Amino acid sequence: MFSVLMGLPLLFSCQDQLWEEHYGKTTTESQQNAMEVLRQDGHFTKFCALLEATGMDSVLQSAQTFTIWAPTDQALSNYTLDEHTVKQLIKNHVSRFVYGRNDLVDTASMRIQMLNGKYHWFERQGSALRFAGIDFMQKGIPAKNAIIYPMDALAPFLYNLWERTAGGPDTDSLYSYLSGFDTYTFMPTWSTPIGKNKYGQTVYDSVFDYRNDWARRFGFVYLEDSIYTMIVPKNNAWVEAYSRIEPYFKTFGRLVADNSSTSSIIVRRTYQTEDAIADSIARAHTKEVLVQDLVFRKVFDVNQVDGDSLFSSSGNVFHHPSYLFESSSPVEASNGRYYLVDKLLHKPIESWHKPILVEAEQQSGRAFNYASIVNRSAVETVFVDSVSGLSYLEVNPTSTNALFQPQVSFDIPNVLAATYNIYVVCAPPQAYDSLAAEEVTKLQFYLNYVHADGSMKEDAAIRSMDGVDFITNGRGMTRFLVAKNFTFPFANYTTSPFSETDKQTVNVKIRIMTNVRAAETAVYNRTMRIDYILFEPVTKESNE
Amino acid sequence: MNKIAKIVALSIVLRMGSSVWAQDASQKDTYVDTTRVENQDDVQVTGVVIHAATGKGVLGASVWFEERSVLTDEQGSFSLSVPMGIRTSLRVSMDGFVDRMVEIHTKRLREPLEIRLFEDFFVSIRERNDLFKRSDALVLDDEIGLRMSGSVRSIRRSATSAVGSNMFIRGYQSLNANAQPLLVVDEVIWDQPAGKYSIHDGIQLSALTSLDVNDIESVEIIRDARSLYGSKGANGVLSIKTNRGREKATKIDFDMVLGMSQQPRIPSVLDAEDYRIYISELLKGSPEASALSSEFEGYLDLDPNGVDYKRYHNNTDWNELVFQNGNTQRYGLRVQGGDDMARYAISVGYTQATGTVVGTDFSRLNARINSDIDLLDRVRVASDIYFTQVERELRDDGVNERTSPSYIAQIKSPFLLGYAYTTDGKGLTNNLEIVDDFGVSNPLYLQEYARGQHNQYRFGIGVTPEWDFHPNWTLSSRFSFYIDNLKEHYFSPMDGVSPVYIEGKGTSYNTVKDQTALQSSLFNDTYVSFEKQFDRLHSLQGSMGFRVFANRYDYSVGIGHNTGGNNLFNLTTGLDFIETDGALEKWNTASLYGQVTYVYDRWVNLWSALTTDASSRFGEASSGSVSLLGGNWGFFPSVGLMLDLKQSLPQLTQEVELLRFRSSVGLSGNDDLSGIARYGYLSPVTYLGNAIGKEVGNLANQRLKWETTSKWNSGVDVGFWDGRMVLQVDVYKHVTRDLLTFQRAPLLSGLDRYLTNAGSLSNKGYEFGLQLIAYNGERFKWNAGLNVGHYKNEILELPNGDYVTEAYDAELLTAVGQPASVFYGYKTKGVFASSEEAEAAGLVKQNLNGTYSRFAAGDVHFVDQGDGKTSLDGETVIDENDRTIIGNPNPDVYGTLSNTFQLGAWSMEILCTYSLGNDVYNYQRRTLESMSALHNQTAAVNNRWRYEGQVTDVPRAVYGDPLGNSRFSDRWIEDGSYMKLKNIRLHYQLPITASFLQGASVWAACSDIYTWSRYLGSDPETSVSGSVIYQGIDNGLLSAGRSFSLGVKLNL
Repeated sequence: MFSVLMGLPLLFSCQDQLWEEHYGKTTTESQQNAMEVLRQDGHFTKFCALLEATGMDSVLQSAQTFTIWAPTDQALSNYTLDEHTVKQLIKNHVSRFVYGRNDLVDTASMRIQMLNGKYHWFERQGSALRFAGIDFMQKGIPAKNAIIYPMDALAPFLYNLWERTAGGPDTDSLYSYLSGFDTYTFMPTWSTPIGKNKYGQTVYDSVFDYRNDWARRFGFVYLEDSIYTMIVPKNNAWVEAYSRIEPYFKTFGRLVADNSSTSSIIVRRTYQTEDAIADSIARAHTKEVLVQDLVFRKVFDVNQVDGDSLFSSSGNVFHHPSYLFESSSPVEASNGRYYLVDKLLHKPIESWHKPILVEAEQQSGRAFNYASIVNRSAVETVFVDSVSGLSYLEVNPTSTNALFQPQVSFDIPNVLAATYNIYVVCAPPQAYDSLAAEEVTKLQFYLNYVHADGSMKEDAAIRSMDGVDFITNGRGMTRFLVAKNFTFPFANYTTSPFSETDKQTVNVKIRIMTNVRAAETAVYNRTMRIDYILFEPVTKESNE
Repeated sequence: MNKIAKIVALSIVLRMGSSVWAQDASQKDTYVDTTRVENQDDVQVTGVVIHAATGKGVLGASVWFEERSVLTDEQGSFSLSVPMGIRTSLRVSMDGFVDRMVEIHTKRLREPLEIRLFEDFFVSIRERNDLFKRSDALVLDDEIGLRMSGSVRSIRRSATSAVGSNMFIRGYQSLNANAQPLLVVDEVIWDQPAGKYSIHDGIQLSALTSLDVNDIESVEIIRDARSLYGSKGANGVLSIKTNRGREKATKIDFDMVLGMSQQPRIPSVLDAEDYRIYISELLKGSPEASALSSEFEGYLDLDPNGVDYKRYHNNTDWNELVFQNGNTQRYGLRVQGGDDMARYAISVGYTQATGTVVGTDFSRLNARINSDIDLLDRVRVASDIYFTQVERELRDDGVNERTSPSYIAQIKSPFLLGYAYTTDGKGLTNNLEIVDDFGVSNPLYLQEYARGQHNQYRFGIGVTPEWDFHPNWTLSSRFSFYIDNLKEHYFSPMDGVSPVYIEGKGTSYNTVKDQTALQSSLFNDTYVSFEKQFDRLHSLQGSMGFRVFANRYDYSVGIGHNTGGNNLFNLTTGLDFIETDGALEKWNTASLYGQVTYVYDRWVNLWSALTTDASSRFGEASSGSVSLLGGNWGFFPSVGLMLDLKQSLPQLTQEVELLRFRSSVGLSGNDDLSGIARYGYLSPVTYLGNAIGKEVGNLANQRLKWETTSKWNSGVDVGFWDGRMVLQVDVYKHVTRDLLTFQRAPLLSGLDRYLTNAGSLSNKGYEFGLQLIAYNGERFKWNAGLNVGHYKNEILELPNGDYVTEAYDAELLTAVGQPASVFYGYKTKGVFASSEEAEAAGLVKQNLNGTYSRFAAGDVHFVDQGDGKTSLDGETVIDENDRTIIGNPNPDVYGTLSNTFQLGAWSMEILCTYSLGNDVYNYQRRTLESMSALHNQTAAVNNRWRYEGQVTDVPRAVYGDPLGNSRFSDRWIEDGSYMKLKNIRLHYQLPITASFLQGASVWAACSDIYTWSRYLGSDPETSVSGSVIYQGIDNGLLSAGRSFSLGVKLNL
């Protein structure tokens, strides 16, 4: 044993050697960087030349990791050097990080972002692998800072939706509008002060934050990592749509005074609006709605939309939407698909000329007189499905004098210079209390708006339609058509997705008052139960 | 080769043996005057004493028979009258030579004796007390590790100056209680309070730090069944004796040592370029990946003109900044002397060392006065007084990514600098960089601002009167008192140290800790001893007495966070998340003990010892105890037999000089219980961060008691060829019952567990010692020694069945039939080189949401243990059922190998230690090769799997390691076998003699010279804790580089 232990050191390998084996670099083939490997290989002479020409060779020598989907000389045999496309081509074949088959064990495909920001699909089909739709050899060539897959074809380069809009000569109307939302904000906290100029002001290695409010609201079509379907109107489509939509937003531009004295609850008002401002408001709203329904999330088959309805990124719903796309065919973009159209086919009623519904129980824009009001819930009655918004407004008289009948007025926002059928819907007392006795009342309505002559006033009372008084149903819901095909001469559109507060005041109002004479009180009650007011657009289609 | 010497250095063997008697008897002899008594029945024994190397007679050697002695003449001849017909031994002594005991039987004497004396160079390496006088060790542990490794498995804690070693004698006699041997210094027990710890990470406290190695005269290891220390002796005993004045002549020794320690050898980490490639690859799955996929900014910036480019493009070797060459200086002055009345030994020493981690140091000032005074004819008083002051500056050590500079140096990004650039990125400033982008601290901040003070003061005083009140009886009483005062202060700076979230509290940006601990101990040991030779055949020796031992341990620890600045380092009430801890613990032990040794006809030696212990730590209803005098007494008997077969077997050939058989059996205990462990008590608890309430802190258990270890030991000592070779073999079996283990507490108690005595374990093993006089020439001499130790630890019984303990991200299994705390994890079969290989294996891991992830090319191939669990697709699920035992931290054998040479005035000592067959869990390497975070890694990760078909043993780098490639597996379990060329000492006796200078010598030593090992960490000899369950774990504590010492010793 003694001699065994004396010779013990011989039993161990030298620790230095084991350390060298473990901590040393044992794989010699991967000690070259990607450029060295590419140059040495011999199949990538053209690709190497392009890399050198564009200065990308220094990037591929750097201490980073890349996956290079390297086009072979064969893949580049038909390529002729073009300054405009060469950078797109090179960065379109290089991605950061190391990718390989082991990334596709739990998924059949993944999107890989290239150095140009574009994504390509990396897919597995059985045991075959494809990159950007091209089969390639799975066992890549290792380099110290990369793995290189020889590609016998070029990966397609696609513009994204924004680049297509910006780059196309036929879409500059749209692009000039959308790019108007670009903002570049200097970010002092991200920027590094790098010294002072001769005026003693701090000079920064400046960082700006790019922001486009339209894209924020309707879809980041300039980014590569989300996918959209986009309708891109050509210039002629833009012009046509603009001229078609603009009348809806015709805004009155002079002094407006409300001189109506018939109402005790609508105060005397004046508005000062310049013509130019009125025009610009009209233009702004027209363009806003023109582009609000161009973007849809994801890509889809327009003929096979789930539920036959499609949400645009504004939230508007289009039923059986294939008509929107029918004049054009889809074109692939790097972040989705677009349809270049000669005409925008959105139905006004689904896009900008939409029904206006004012719930009576909403307090905003509401005024009342000779009345006490209370919101009633229909949740516990059989009317729960009939009453809009589950509750209605109950207006009770505070006087038995017929001169002081209860009345309530509502602002109607966003009325366009267009034609509406105006409805008022009332609920019966049983909508709140199932055991309530039948109550019937008779109503009259007043419309207050800017008239064609510029005067803002209240029209005479509307007391009947087609010769029938507005008498409520004592036991059921009543829907009064208050005005048929009523055309407003001017738009009173007040909202914008890009401004937080309304710039204009609502100037379209409807006043509702009971119309029960002293002699009629035995038959009619003076309590009103108003559920909602509906301004329903009248379009050519609806007339047809 | 010269004529082979044929004399056994018997005294060595006698001391190595188990007999108290032998040692006491030999000490007694030095005080007995020589007288000549001759009877008619006597027979003249004649012989010649010769120098073993030269073959010439030795003039003036004393030949003793009991109290008779003669001196040899010029030819070395002697003649001594000895009674007829008895077995006896002659003792031969001579200055400069090893004492000899020569066994004779006067009846059988036919021819003159030829007694060869070996020069004292041949004292075995473990017995060479003079080596303590020229040791480069700062603490005794290191010397024990060097010389006694076969008897004490000694594993160095770390290379921090003088932190010592964890020591285990004959396996592990406990699971949860202290497993370190009992320290007895000058026969006073140095008790270690349970749970005494340092507030500095990676530092283990040791009482031995306060002993200067130069003050030590001898160390005896009690390994066998002798139950002298009752309920404290189960782990074995290190009995240390300090220098005492022996002679009347005044001796003044001055020595000086200068030393230098090189920085440790550390596995290389990635350089800046490789590291940048590594992180750029690892970022793939990170939250930053999508933002980075087409941008190059920050630390991945490619533009040399970029503002931050210089900041992120350096190549810093952090090890160079964190480590340095340490140095040591030590000075000692010792004076011994006396007169007819009194003898004294006075020593003063000062040691100063700077550590190999920048900012760490150690200093020790020690003074000791030992005196022995003969007051009256039969009354003596021995007194000791000593004082030691140890001061250290420490930094956290081990795997600690926030505050351990030596570890941070490994994980810190090499492309960063410790100093900051100007904001325009053009000029370097002298401001220290703060925490980097990867959340790693700046080690330079820790050097500059951190504090790690550790101050320990020990003072002791002892008085021992002795009275020979009868020719055969002596009364002795030892009074001793000592205090050990510890003060520690810890501070990590506010900046430059990565913040950490403290669960349930908040973020800590820096930490202050303070500890004061005061231990005091009052000790009395009073006994009568007797010695009686009845006739030529029978003799009896024994003692009985009592020991009382009163201890007090008072400590308080305060921890606070967020001081608000790098220079605000005090613990104040305004800090966040303040925690305090402390206790005043008192415990008392009383022992009644007795021992008796009966010798028949010189060859039968039968001894017996009994200790009964009562301790305030024991419960009132502890089983196996007797209630008496207000205490509960445990009984620890032992009995032993030694047969000197050389004496009784005349037919043994002359070649066999010595044949002795030893056996002992007995009980001893382990009383490592906290003083309050047996009581039920309430602990304060904060409620909703505001109110303070109390909850049950412990369940009363009055049955709680010591752990009982029964020991059986047998051994044989054989000497051949007159002592050229001496063999010593011991076999033993220890069984420990009533283990202090945790039992599940009743649900309603609100506690998880409570301490109880249940379960058992055993240790079986052997120890083998060999001393060889390999060459004994006139000028050249060679002495060799080998020690081998082996134990097999096995758990026999556990109260709640097998269990797994989690520590250092590992799972440690404690299971019946296995050694304590084996490594329990996954087995691996390399790394899948290709997708085909991975698909063929078809392994999956189930995720938390129930889905499965497949192991793919580049992942580790974990071995399925055949539990049959499959996924819905029929793939094999790798889960915790596939864990198995993957390693055992216990060695097969361990020990030392020593060679000493002498050539004229030069002597050289070469010491090797080894440990074979033990596994080490390389936790530090695991953290440096898991590739799951952005910390720097070892250069081994350059070999990580990166492409199809790559054959390697390092898996791919995946952010967050979703498949758990770095889980606790045999990847991190390494063969910790090693053989170390631990120490070479060269000594030269200067040929100077002058009236003022009696002798001068110089020596040089080199330590930790080379390690043969397959281990991939810095040092396979690593021990993170003295606790049994944490053995074999490498937490990356500071390892030793080579160190060199130069010493001068002057005898005035």
